[in-house]
Amino acid sequence: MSLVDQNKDLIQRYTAAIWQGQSVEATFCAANIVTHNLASASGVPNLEQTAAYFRAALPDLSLHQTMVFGQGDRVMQHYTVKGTHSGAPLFNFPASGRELTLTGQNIFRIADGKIVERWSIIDAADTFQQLSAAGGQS
Amino acid sequence: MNENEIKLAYRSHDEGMIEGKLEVIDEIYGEDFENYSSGLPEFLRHGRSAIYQHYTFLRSAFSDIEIETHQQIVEDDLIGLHWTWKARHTGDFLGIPATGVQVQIEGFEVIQVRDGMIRAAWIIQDNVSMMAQLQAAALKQA
Repeated sequence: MSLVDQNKDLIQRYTAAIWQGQSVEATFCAANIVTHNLASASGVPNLEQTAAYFRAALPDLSLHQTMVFGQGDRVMQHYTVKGTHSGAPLFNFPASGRELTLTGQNIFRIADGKIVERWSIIDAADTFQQLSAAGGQS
Repeated sequence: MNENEIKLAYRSHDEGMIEGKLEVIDEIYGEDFENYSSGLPEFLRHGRSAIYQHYTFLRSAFSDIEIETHQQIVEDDLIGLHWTWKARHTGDFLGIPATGVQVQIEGFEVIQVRDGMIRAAWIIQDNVSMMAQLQAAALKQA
């Protein structure tokens, strides 16, 4: 398996585990990982906490679609997560019982089989639009 | 993917969005183009006309558009970009009249190239920040 394929496989396994609610940050990421959130609205430090926040609001969520490709030491991922908003409030919107789709993209830099840097964005504007359409009040 | 195919992503930004030579869209995008980005209205999803309308709309609201690309990742038929988009707000944008302010947001873009043309796109940019920057500028001027 080429290095790029190994890196893509690592990211597939890591993100599948994260969205299943497993605690794998320490297994897959270097201790001194550097993270960047492109969207200033979200200041969440790691993916495990991001997933936990969404899981509290959408208890049945699942990683629905993922596209992963890489070059050199980078892997880019586009993903969607689907779940029913039946749990905790999400961005201050109370549970509506409606299905929500969250869309995000990540770029990972990988060295020696560990994630050493991550850039992330979630389409928060689209999430707000879905929450508003579901009839919740902020 | 060859160098000319990689350049399509940049030509779309530079010649299309920034310089406004919208006729290049016919050379760059396939007729079967689909924009799969989340949150887009239906009329901005299908075919070359979706890009025409998107760029025409952006150019009616913004001037002095600049795109600085920070990262490029290419494998098989996919190109991934990480960029900062800067522009001056000089026309109505979703109900906010021109403020003259310069806005700046980061974003990611994945495009799929087949047979020398862009066939699909998945773009996420920080639109929450964009609206916040524009609303703050509008409030200051009210």
